[in-house]
Formats: sequence, structure tokens, C-alpha cells
Amino acid sequence: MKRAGTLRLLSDLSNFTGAARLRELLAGDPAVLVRCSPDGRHLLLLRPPGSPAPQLLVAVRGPGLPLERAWPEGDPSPLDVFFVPWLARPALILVWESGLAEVWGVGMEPGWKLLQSTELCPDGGARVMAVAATRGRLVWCEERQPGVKDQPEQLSTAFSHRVCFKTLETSGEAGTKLGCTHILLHHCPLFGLIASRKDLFLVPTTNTWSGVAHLLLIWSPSKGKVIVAAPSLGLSHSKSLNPKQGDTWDFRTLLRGLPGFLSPREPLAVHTWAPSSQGLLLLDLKGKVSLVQCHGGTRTVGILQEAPVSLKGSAALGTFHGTLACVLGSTLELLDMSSGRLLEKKVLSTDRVHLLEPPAPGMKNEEELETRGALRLLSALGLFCVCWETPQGLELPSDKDLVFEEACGYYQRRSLRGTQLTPEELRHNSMFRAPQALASILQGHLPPSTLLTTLRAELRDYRSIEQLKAQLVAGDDEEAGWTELAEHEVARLLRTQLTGDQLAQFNTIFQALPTAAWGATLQALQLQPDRSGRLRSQAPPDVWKKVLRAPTAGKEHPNGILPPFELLCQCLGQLEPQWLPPFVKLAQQQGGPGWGAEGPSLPLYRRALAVLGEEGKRPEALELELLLGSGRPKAVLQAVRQLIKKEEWERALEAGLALDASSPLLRSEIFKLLLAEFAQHRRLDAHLPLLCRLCPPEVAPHELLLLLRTHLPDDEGTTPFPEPGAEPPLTVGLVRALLEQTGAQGRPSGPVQSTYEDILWDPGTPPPTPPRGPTASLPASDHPGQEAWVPPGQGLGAADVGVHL
Amino acid sequence: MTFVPVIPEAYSHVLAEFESLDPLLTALRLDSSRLRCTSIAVSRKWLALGSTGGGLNLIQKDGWKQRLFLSHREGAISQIACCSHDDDYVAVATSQGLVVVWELNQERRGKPERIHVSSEHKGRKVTALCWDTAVLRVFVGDHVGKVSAIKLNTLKQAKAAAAFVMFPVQTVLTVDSCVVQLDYLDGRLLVSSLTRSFLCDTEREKFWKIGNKERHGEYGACFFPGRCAGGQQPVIYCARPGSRMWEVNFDGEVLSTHQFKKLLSMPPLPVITARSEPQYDHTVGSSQSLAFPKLLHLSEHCVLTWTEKGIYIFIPQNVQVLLWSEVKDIQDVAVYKNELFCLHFNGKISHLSLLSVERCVERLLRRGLWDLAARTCCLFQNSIITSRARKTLTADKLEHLKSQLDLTACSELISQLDDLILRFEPLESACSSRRSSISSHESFSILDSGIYRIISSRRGSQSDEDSCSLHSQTFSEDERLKEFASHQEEEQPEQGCGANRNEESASHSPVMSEVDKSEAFLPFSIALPFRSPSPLVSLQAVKDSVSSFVRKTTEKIGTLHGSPELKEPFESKDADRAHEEEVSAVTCPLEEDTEEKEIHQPPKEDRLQELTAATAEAMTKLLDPLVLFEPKVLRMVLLEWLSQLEKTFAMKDFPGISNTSSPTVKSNLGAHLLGETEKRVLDEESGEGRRVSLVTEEAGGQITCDPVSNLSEPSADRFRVCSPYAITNSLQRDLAELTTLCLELNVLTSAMESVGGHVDRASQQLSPEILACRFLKKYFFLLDLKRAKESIKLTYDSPCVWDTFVEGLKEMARSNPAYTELEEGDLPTGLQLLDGSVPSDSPLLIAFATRLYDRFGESALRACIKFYPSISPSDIAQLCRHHPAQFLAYLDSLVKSRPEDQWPSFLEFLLQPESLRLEWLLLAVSHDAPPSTSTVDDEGHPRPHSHLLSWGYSQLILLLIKLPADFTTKEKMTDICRSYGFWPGYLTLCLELERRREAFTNIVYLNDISLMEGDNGWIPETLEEWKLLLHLLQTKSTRPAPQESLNGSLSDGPAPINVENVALLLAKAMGPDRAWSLLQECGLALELSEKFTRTCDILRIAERRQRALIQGMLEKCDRFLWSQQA
Repeated sequence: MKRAGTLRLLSDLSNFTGAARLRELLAGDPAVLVRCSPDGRHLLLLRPPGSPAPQLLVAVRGPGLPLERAWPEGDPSPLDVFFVPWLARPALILVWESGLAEVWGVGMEPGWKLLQSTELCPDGGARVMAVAATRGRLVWCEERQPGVKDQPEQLSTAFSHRVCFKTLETSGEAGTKLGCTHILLHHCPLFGLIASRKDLFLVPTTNTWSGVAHLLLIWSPSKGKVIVAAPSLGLSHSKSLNPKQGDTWDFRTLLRGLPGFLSPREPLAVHTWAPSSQGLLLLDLKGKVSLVQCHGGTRTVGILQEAPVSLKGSAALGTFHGTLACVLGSTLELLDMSSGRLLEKKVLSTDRVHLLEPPAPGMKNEEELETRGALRLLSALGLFCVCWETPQGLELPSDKDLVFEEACGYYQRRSLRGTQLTPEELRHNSMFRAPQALASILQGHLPPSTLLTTLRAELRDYRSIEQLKAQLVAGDDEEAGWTELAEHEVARLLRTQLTGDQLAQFNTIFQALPTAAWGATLQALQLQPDRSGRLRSQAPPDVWKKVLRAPTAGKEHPNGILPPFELLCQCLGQLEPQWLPPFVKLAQQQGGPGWGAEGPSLPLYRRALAVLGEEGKRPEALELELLLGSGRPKAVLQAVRQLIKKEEWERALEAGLALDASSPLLRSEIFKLLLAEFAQHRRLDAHLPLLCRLCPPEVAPHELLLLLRTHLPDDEGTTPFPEPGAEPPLTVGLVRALLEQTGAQGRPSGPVQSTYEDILWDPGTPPPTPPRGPTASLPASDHPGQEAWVPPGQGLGAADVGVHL
Repeated sequence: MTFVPVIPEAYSHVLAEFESLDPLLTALRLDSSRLRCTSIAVSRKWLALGSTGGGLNLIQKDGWKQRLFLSHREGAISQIACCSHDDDYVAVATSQGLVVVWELNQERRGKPERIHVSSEHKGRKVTALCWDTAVLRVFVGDHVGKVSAIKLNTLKQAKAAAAFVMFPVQTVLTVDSCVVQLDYLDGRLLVSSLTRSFLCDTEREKFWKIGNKERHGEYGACFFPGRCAGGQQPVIYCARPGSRMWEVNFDGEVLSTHQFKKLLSMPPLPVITARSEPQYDHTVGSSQSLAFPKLLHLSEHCVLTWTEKGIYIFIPQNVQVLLWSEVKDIQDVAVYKNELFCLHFNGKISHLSLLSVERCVERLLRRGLWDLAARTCCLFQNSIITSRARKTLTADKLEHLKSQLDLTACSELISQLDDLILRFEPLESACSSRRSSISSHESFSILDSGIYRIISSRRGSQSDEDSCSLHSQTFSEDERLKEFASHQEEEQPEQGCGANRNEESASHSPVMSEVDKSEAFLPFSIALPFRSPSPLVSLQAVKDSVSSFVRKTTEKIGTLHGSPELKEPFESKDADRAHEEEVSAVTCPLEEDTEEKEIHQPPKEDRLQELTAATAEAMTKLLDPLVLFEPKVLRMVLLEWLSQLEKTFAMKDFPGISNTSSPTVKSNLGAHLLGETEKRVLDEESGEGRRVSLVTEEAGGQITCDPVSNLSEPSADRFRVCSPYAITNSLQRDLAELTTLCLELNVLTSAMESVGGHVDRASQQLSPEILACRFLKKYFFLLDLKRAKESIKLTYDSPCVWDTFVEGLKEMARSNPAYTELEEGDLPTGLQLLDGSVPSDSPLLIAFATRLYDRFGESALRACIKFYPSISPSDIAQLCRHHPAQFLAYLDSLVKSRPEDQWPSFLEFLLQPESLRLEWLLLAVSHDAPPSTSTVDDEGHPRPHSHLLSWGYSQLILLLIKLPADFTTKEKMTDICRSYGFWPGYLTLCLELERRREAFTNIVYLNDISLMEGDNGWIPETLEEWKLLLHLLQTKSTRPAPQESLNGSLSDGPAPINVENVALLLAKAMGPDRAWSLLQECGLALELSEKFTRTCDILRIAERRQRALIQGMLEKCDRFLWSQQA
């Protein structure tokens, strides 16, 4: 990800107490010492001796009182001041060259208070040269004056130093207390002291004896070890501190006991030392930054583009987020710690910039989450932080975008404002917190647990879809996953209004995954076949209402988006055409009478037929079934006509017989049609009993004869007997049966129980042969079962159909 | 009596059954239908039989007398494996899937103990068991394909094992189906499953599939050890369908396919057994297409297998069928050397031997099976008449045989034998001349391979007792003795000196075993000249003369070694103190000599006094930091002190050292060689050997060496490893510090010396390395060895200084009995020995490690990780500097000895100085790496899929690469990875250094879409990158057809990177609609298939669903946040 480091102003210092003084000091003296308290609220500035008053300023951001101190000219001013790094409540330690140490702290009452004042070198004659504090210890390097009694041999002043430490106890209200003194190292050269969080580094200074200026010492109090390292050689040896000897080492003995340090070497040419979380950073005069790790090993971090001009120029080093920051004069260079790559070089508007150490981990930080761990820069202009931001436009869409896009719609619906919300607005406006929260959750940040519990199911679904996408893209043909996706989505859509976008999505699913979609619809509509081959549904009417809704008149659906009913019919027509007629029939039953009131709309069978294709191109059998099943006279007549055309007499007759007594007109219409056929040829003769049954009771014999006559073919020949090969003519014997029927006015007794009863319970007649449709080429089966109708490759066996329907 | 058919071809070998094991089974009560034998195994000592009742019978093969019975209540014994390198261990699998390992405690005459019970395979059927060949480890394979290893910590090894805390049972691997056979050799495990064979490097945990083609069914595979003499690598044979075998090298690559189908079309050879007359039918036989269910390595050159029909023995290296015989219903076969124990399905066991025909006949003769012997002769007459066989089976013997036959019953046979004797070829001239040349040499006999054996009375036809063209050790030693005895009994009437012979054979048995060993190493086609250069052979020649010498010198040593301190091992807890004491107190065997010479020197007290004074002065000066930390001044002080030291330990003590200018006069070469041999003999004879040879050299004054010219061979030079004078501890300490400082600061010759002219000019001009070597030798006894080791590595670049130092350490280590014991035994024993006798921080460890390394090579280095940090990587680097690859193996093991999460930090800690990063990386990518031709194509681009090639040290390489480093280093690493074709590393680095364009270009070349998939995939992050990638694909598709993939076909490799696949990824990353428009923009929309459209549809649905979920979550979030506010 191409990232850009940006400088953000955190504060223009006006929210600090003593802001004016602070600015003045920062702008004035470049050599001013700046330190930051562990909680990040306090800033400490110390001017070198000889500066105008005040020399020490502690400024606080937010509530609190500043501390200002000055020492008259001539009086010694402090050598160093620092916050006790591991304390939440700020405490200061001031150390003078003479060995005087003062501990200041903020108590319960506002304002700074002197907690303790002590002498580090009580016997006098010693000068403190460097001081630092590591966890629980105050460490200093002191120079012993020559001629002090405890020195048996006359040593050169170069090796008359020693490194001592005092424990720093922090207890309760009394605050901080310095304990007794221990000596770590005797007879050592002058060392600078740098403390990191765990270790103390003893580094050579410009005044260190050149024979030992190539090495540095690392003291790990927690491990009880001293490591001597020569970074230029890649050499390090560690020695355990011997508790018997009181943790004291003679520098000469220490070095003599380790191989490799006594041979002639060049002194280290270090410009700046700086502690970091990984160890000690050192910048040499050529611009190379190295890291001395806690175990003594040294590695090069990177090489700065600009080398320090001289020893005098200021430089500051720090690390954050795996990045090394280096301020040299007015340039800020950012290097990747792991690859040494230059990430960014910025020229600052001022060269008086101080890098502040990062707040201690675990400290409560009032600053925003984003700046946590970021690098902070202090100048007279204000307090800045360097952080990484992704430049706009380069970023690819992510989960975050989805959230904000959806949030737009979500809030727009609830908004009273007329203006259109934009994702950008939501992103940077803190008014709506939910999208922010959700976006961060989706990016892996943990929300409060209560929220997480409520969102758990959705989050799981969301992630599993994400996984599914990855699988899909990887070419994984895991149909099951997609089926589930389709099922969930269909179920969801059927709960919505199923208009607009939802309908479009509904269509998409049916196109992409028809089987799964139909399966989900089945479940939503709770379709169940009964023994008679009809469908039943227990779904609530409003679902059916949604499904059966007619397309709004005049509004054509664009892009071939079909209304739900059409979509379902189409899908069924493709997948399992034999269930289409029962489905349409069921739909007609579900439709109910009240719905027609919405406006004149096409009957459902017409809609279903429309889906099947243009007139004449539809699968005939299916069309017939639909027409017959529609219950509409016109449709039934049309069907019967078609049957007659196809000479399927029995079906035509049955269609007529199937109509119950409620539509006598239609029945007689059918009878008439068939009678006409009867009159014309002899192919119906075999079905005469059925025709008789169809004969309406109200028809009088003469009417019948009349009808027959109109349809009788003209007597062409005069011969009494038909010519050989020609069809025999209608005989009285045949007509008699019909006439008897009418004359007797008798009809088969017994109530008609159901529409199809006679078909179902007549063992002599096989059930209607299902239409062959496109599979007509299949060998005719003796048992025209359903399996013949399962489209191959759809993965639905006969058993499946049975279960679903 | 019928006419015996003659086998037309000259078959050299035959399977013979000399004894029936039925009585044994009866004695073991394993002959009932209820209780019968279910499994079998054999070792040098034991025949192991498992029974249905869970009992394991161990019967000592020698005489079938001693036996052990181990019972198991965990079901019938399904598998047995005897540890081949230690007869004291047996592993057993029961029908319940438990694996029990027994320690028999035979040596200690204790009771057998169950030392491990593994329930790793409980409830499964253990189908294969196999022992490691070096350590106590058993591999177990079961019917679902799991292979585990049981590492044993036995009482014997308890100490060594304590240092390695590890789980005793590890799953090694799981294969796809039932494990058919396991075999192990030199760190590799061979697993054969129902579908294929796998090779597994158990140390590095690397796995290879052998070959591409699968097969289905039970097919075995076995190792075929290489021959040391030929320098031949071990190979693997894998059974294949249709009587085929793959020959596979030790790295799992199939070298060739051997087809035995045609060769097996010959009729089966009869098994020679007393139970029935041998039958041979010419007519039988058609080519056989067989599946070999298991392969066993047999008798040096052969591979044995069987089917339900018979036993087949091949010489696979010559693609030759040695023989096949009909032996039916074999369930399993156990093999030891040339002996076969066949377990039949009915629980019976037959014991067969693979013998040369003539040996077989001879043994039949000895057993008095005249009839059978005669039949065999006739049957195999084509083999018998060759000159090779004639040496064993002389005409006299056949005549004798003829005389034994019943004239009436076997007239047919007798006439056939007569014919045979007439057809005898004359003995080869070369052979006879060889014989005659030896005949003058009373104490040698010649073996068929040309090796000479010492026997004092030559016994004509019996002398080539062991000759067998397969030069395998036909008999175990014990059996040979047994045979001797029985032979003697058989031939007593005609042998006058039987008793004498018996005695002699007994006394020479160890020597003969030596001969046999050396014989086993020799390739059998090469006949050795009379005077073999092999030291072991000449060893035999000088044995007699030496033994008397040894006796004499040992007596002398006995008197010398009176002082008990000498044998005191380094056992003191405080190593520093121990060292001091040792140096000052050890009496050196040289002492007596030096004291003799001291007559000409000023009294030693004076000299020491001066030295003590000088040392005290120097030490005082060193207290001043201005001296100590000012190298120039420090050197001055040391120089001054050194002159005093030189004076005290004047070089006159060492004529060999001071006499530098005299050119070496090599003594008589022969004598020198003899001396060398002597030394070796003695080394092997006794732990004091080295010392003895020192004494003898001294006495003889033979070896005078120039240190300069002998630097290449520092062993010829001598070290002062102990002080000539008694020195007080405090002085010793100071001397040690100063001497070591001198070495460290390169102060090697004193000013005094150079001024005084004790040393000629040549030595002043010597390089510091040579001076350092000389210094080391002179003052080795004074040095602080640990520090000196560091100083040498820091100060001196030259390997010769290191070598000299190590030589010195070795010299010193010789006083430790463990050092000489290291000469014998295997690596674990050696390590155990070190654990017990050398403190872990002793400076002498290096000497021991070097010793182990010389003997065991890489595996010793790997074991050295145990001594970290006493032995550091830089030490190892020095140790194996001629074989950098071995250093890698060490480094790899060392890093991996830590928990995995600590690998990077530990490796970084080891990488001091920084420059090692590149060095090690370079080393790691250039070893155990695929050839560059398979990673880079002709144009220098990566070959498709070449990132999937296996690299021996890929883990190490990736660790090195991922460590933080500076930009230049990272760039160099990138270049290294690219030039060696280590693409995974190269890509990682490219992306780290933001060379994304380059990375994607190469990903496209590698043509594996999985590089871009998954959580760790490298996916473009910006629109620009997507465009770049699509553009790259466009240009790629316009290039000529893709280069062929590594294994021939692209189809079975990973999914390729093509427009379609990338478009799908794009669709996932950006959504289908945006992806579509980008693809159109790049003009790629047309190339997409229906699958893409369909996938996009589904992606769209998925996205809509996600959006719906987001809506739902938003609502909940909103509600939650409101509730929080309320």
C-alpha cells in the first residue's frame, strides 16, 4: 500500500499552561532540553547553564499547574532533569553536577512539590558526569577526584570514573524515594548513560579514552548481566554479575576477561545516541543509523540521505510503528526499520524541532486512538504527530466502503433533511457513529462484547460469504455454498416488498442459481404435493400476494426483469414442467377473489402461458394442461378444441366430464363440439359411452338430432353401402345410445365428490398421460413416472421432487 | 533310478533347505491350529516368532537352544522387528494396534523389560515396523497410512537423552493409504503405500513422492545400500506393476525402470532339500507379470521378493534374475545375510539359504546327503564345470561322492557324474599361478576375491571356506565355527591334524572377521593384486610381527603409567579450576625424557623464578588502564614478557621445533609406512595406542619434522600439552592470561629472540599465521583455551592456525579415555560418552567434536547443536570449512532446536557480525537447491511453477530474508535470490522493497494463481497495479506458447495465471461491475468465458447479501449505540 506520511497538528500549544513561555523557550534556544512525561501531558524544558531565567519549565496540557524554576547566575544549575519514566503520576528528578538530586512530584493538591532532596556522592570530591533512570533505578556516572583515599594506586583521570546507582522506590502518598547506593563499575572511563525501558546503555562520549571508545556496555538489571559490545566488530560478550561481589565489576578485569576488546580499534564515530524499544539507535557521522540490540548484536538500520554536517548540529532519532524517524536540522527522514528503505523525506519549516519520546505503554492516553504510538514532534509552532495515511483515489473498494454506502441509504430513509447523504460525508462526519463502529468491526477491531454478541450471527454470515467469494474466485466448484447463499437470499427477499432492486436481485438469483432459488421458494411458500398430484401451500396470504402481484400496468420492467410469478413459472417450466400446471392452479386458488379489485389484470394462466413463449411455440402438452387447469370456459374450450384437433378424444371427453355441474353451459358447449365430430366420422365411436355421459340432461332428442344433422357430412354417394375403404357412415344404432340417454334423462346417480373423482377412481382408465414436451424423444415408458420429467443434470432425483413438492 | 535332467543355463546360485524348523515349532508348541505362528523376524542373533496367542519367542539362531519368551496380553503378534544394530531390542506390534518395544537385557543378564508401549496406532492394524539403523528408534506404519516414530530413551541412553527433551512418539507422516512396507537407511525412511512410495528425510523432515505414476495394490520398496568401496550412493528399488522395478536414487528421483517379466519366463529352479528330489521341468515357464508385495535387500547384491507362487531373487543392478523357485503360500519372509526364513500361511516356517551351487553341494557332502548332492551336481552340471566352482568342488571330491553312492540304486546317477567329471574345465591359468605364488607363503591363504588370510597350515580344498562369488558373508561367525567343528567330525578319518586346526581357527577368528569386513566392502568384480594397498590387508600381513612388539611396548607403558592422575578425567564441576589443575598437575609421558635433557639447562627453579618475576611485573603493568587500553603499550609489555617466557621454555626441549632450517629427510618409505600401520594397529588395539606410538617414535628417532614444511600436516608435529615444570596455580593463571593475550594481540616472537638471533632470518619474515602456529605448539600448555579459540577466530584469518589449535586440543584430549573410546561405537554412543565424561563448557569439546565429525560427518555436526553455546556456529564453520553445506545443516538444526516463534530472533542473534547475513544466505541458496536451469529460462525469467521446487534450506533462507536489515543488504539479498532462482524469497523481498512492479512481472512468469490467493497472497493493492497486471497478462498471451513446466505437463500443476483467473480475483477485490469496466478499459473483456460471467453473477448476489447484512448490522449498531447513550 502506498502510504504517505502526514504531519498533523495536535495542538498549537495554547491548551498548555504557560503556553507563551513554552513557545518562547522553544523558539529561542536551540540547545534547550525537551522531555515529555510518560502520560504525555507534561512537557519539560531545561535550558543549559547560563541562560536567562527561567531555566526550567514544566508545562501541562489541560488542568494542572506549571513549574518554573531559575537559578541565579553563579549558582550551579542542574545537569539533567527527567521524568521518572515508569510512573503514571509525573515525578521529576533533578540532578546537579555536585551530586545533589531533587525529586519533585505532583501530589493530591495541585502544583509541584519537592518530595526529596539527597546527595548522590555524600563523601564529596566526586562530580556527576551523566545520569539516567531505568526501571526502579537512578544510575549515574561520577568522576572521582584524584587523591581520594580509597584509591590504592594512582590512576589516570581517564579511568577514575565509576558507575553507581540508587534504587528508586515509589510508594504510596510519599511518592518517590531514593534508596541506598550501589556501585556497578569501578575504574571505568567516562560513559554517557542512556536508558531504554529495560536496559541501561553505557556509551562512550567524546571525552572517553580512545582505547576504549570503540565499545559500549549494556546493563540489564533484570537479567543480572553486563554485555560488552564493540559494534564496529560485530562482537559482543556477556558476563553475569556475580552477586557475591556485590554486583560490582572492575572495568579492567571485566575487559581483560573477554577476548577481542584489547586489540587496537578505531573509536566509534557517533553523532547521536537514542534509545528505542528495540535497543539503542546510533547515528554516525556518515549518516548511517545502526541499532545495538539488547543482546549486544548490532545491525545497520539504514543510511540517511543527509549525513550530519558536524558534531554540533542537532539530530534526533526515534521509532514508531516499525518506522525510524530522524530529524536532522530541518529535514525529517522516515525509514522502514525492517528493510531500511527510505519511506519519506520531509523538509520542515523550522530546524528547532524536538522529537518526543513515545508515551509509556499502558499509560492512559487521552489522545485519539489514531495517534497512539505515532511520532510526536514539538516545535514553537505546536505539537505535531506523524502518521501514515492512505492517499485518496488509490484505495480500492473495501468493506468500509460498503458500510458507508449502505449507511447512506439507511440514514437517508430516516433523515428529515432533503439533502442527499454521501459516503464521504458519513465517513468524516461523526454525527452517525454506527457506520464508523461497524466499519471498524469489519476491519477486525473488536467492539464491546455486548455489541459483538448481538452482531455475532450476521458477522459470521458476512465472513462466510467473504470466504465463499474467495472460493468461488479460486475456481472451487462447491455448489453447496452457493446454494446456501441463494437460499438465504431468496428467503430474505421474500420477506421484503420484492420491488425495484429487490426484484432485480430476485431475478438475478433465479438466473444464476435456478435450482437453489426454486428450492428456497418452495420452502418460503411451503409448497407440498398431496396424493392426488396437487399442490398445497400453507404460506401466509401476504407472501402469495407478493408473489402473484401483477406487473404494474404501463411500467414495463427493464432489462427483462420479470415479476415474481412469471419468474417462478419460467423457472418451474425449465426445471420441472410437470409441476407447472399444479402450481398455477394452486396460485389461482391462493389468488382469491379480492385481488382482482386492484385492477384488470391478466388471469394467471395467461401469465404463465406468456412465460412459456409465443403462442404456437409453447410446449403443447403443457399449454393444454394449463388451459384445462385454468377453470376458465374460454380456456377450457380452447383446450378441448386443440384436443379434438389432435384427435385425443378421450382426453377431450374427460375434460368435459371433469367439469362439475356448476358450469353446465361449458359442458354442453364441449358436448356440442364433440357431437359435431361424432357426426362427421367414426373415430369417436369407441368413446360413445363417455360421450353419452357428457350429454347434458336438458338436451331433448330432437335437439340432438338437429345438432347431428347440421354436422352430418353431405351425402355424396347414393349407394346404401359405403365404398370399400371409405369410412362407414353414422348409423342409427350408434345414435340410439345417445337418444336413449337423452330420453331417459338419466345421469349416473350419486353426488360428484370432486372434480377429478371419476378419473381418479376409475381403474379402467389410466391417468392422463403427461405431456411429452421436449422429452418426447425419450422411449415411451410403461409407467410414465415423474423421473422422466426431471431435467437431466439438475441434480434432483425423483426422491427429491417428492420431498420438495 | 531315472535320469536327472540338466539345467541348461549355468545358474550360479540355488536355494537350499538344510534343516527343518518343524521340530522347533513343535518344541515351541506353535504347531497347533489354535496356536500358530503369525509373524517372523530375524537378526544377527535371534529368530523371532510371534504367535496368535500374543507370545513372542526369541530363539538364538546358533543351535536353536537358548530362547526367550515374551508374552503380550494385547492380542496376537502381527509384526515383529529386531533392531539390526543392537540385538538387545525387539519391537512388536499386536493385533490391537499396540507397539511394544522390549529391551532384552541380555548383556546384563537381566530380565527383558518393556521399555515402551505406544498406543499411537491403537485400534488400527500395524502393517509395518522398521528400526532406525543408528539410533534407537522404531518406525511404525498402519493400515490407514499413518507412520509414527518411537524414540526410545533406554537405560543405556538415559543420560544422553536427558538433554533432548522430546516426545517419544512423533507422527512422521500420513500417507494416502495402507502402509505396505517401511525401510530405513541413513536418515531416510522409505514408505510404500497402496498407491506409491514416499521417501522421508527424518532429520530435516522433508518428504518426496517417488515417481509420478501411481499404482494400486501391495507393492513394496526397499533401500539398497551403496558400497563404500565403490563410493556408490545407496539406491532404492520400488516394485511396479507387471514385474517392473524402479531404480530410484537416494533423493527420490526415478533413475530407471527395470523389467523382469521376460527374464522371469524361465522355469523355476528347484529348492534343494532333503525332503524331496529336486525336480526341474524345462517346459514350464512363460513370462510372468507379477506384483511384488515386499522387497527385501538380501546378501549384498540381491533383492528378494515373493508372490503366492514362489520366491524371486534379482540382481537389480545388472537387471538380472538370479533365480526364482517355487515356494508356495508364503506370508512373510525374514532375511538375514543370505538366510531366508519364510513364514507360510499355515504357520509353518522354512529356513532357506541362498548359496552358490558348489557351496551347496559341498554342504550336502558334509552332511552325507550323497544322493542329493549327486543329483544337485548333475542338475547343475553347467554351473559345476566352470572353473570358479571347480576351486571348491574338486574332481577328488566328486570322485569321493561317486564312491559313496549305491552302485545298484544309482547307476544312472553315477554315469552322469562320470560324464560331469570328464567335462571339467581345466583350472584357469591366472588362478593357478596366483595360487603357486602364494604356496611359498606359508601363512596366507587366498580368498576368491583376492584377499589373503593368515593360516599357518594350508589346507588345499578347504581353504576357501568362505568363498562365494557374491562375496557376502555367507555364515555368521558363530555358524562358521560350528561348521568347522562339524566338518572336522565328518572328515576325521582322513584329517590327521584336526585338533590343531580347530584350535587355530578359534584363535584366529577375530582376525578373520576383519578380513570379512574388508571383503564386504570390495566390489566383487575387482580382483585385488597380491600386495593390497589397503591398510587393513597389510595389517594382516604384519599382524604377527606387530603383536610381539605390542606386547613389549605395552609392558613398557605399564611402567610409565604409574601415576594415577594421568587417567583422571575432566570431571571437576568448576571447569576453570579443573583446567588449571589439569594443566599443572598432569604428568606427561614425555616428562622423563625432558628431565633427562635438563641436565644441560640451568636449574628450573631459577628459570621459573625469573619468569615469575617477569610475569608479576607484566601483570602489574596490565593493571594500569593506560597500558591495558593502549594497544601499543600493551604490545610492548607483552613483547618484553614474552622474551622471558621464551627463555624459560627454551626450544631446546624440542629438537623437532628448533631445528627448523634442516630439511626433512624422509626415512625409508617402507619403514615409514610400516610405522604408520603400526600406529593404526595400535590405535585400534588399545586405548593407549597413540601414546605408545609417541614413545616408539621418540625412541627410534625416526620422525623429524620441519614445522614450516609440515604445516599442512600438523599432526606430524608435536605440541607441548603439558608443562615441563611444576608451576603454581597462581603463576599458571597469570601465564595463561599473558600467553593468550600475546596470541590475541599477535605478539608471537619476542624482541629478545629476534635480536638475539636464536631464530634465523627466515622465520622473521614468516607470516603471522605460521608464527601463530608455532606459538600455539610451543605454548599450548599455557593457553587459556577458550579464550584462545575466540582470539584465533578474531585475529587470524588463516585456517591453518585453527587447524593447529584443534590438533593441540586433540593432543590434549587424548589423555581423556573418552577420546579413544570415541573411535568405536556409533554416534549416539559417542555423544553419550561425551555427556558423561566431558563438562559441557570444556574447551576440549572442540577436539571431541572434530573427532566425531571426522567419523560421522554431517550427522555429528547436527548433534553438536547440543553443545551450543560452548561450540558456537563459528567453530562449526571452521570445523567443516571444506564442506560449507554441512555448516548449513548444522545451522538449520541449531535454529530449529528452538521453539518456532524464537527462530527469527535466535537467528538474528547468531548473525554477528552483520556481514554473515549475505554469506549464509548465499550458502543456503546454493546448496541442496534445484539446478538453475529448472528455475530460470533461457531469457533469465522465472520458469513457470519453479517457485514450487523444493529447496533444502528454504525455511532457513526465508528466515534470513525476513530478518530486518538495511536497504543495501536487502537489495543484495534480492539479487542473490533472483540469480539463484529462489522465487519465494525474491518475491517477498521485492514486495518489502516496494518493487511491486517487478514482483508482479515475475508472478506472471511463475504462472501460479495460488501466489495471489489466500490470506498471504500477493494481490495488487491499487488500480494502477491491477492495470499493470492485466497489461502483463496481455503481453504474455501474445508471446509464444508457454514454456513447458517442470514435470512435463502443465495440466497437473497449479492453476495458471491467465486473464480469466486474474479477472476473477479482480472481480472479488473490486466487485464485478467495476472489474468489468476495468477489463473493458484494458480491452480484455472479450477473452472472458461464460464461467466468468456466471461467477460475477454469483459474486453480485453475494455482495447484495453482504449489503443486506450490513444494513441489518447497521440497524443493530445504531440501536446499541443509542441504548448506550440513553
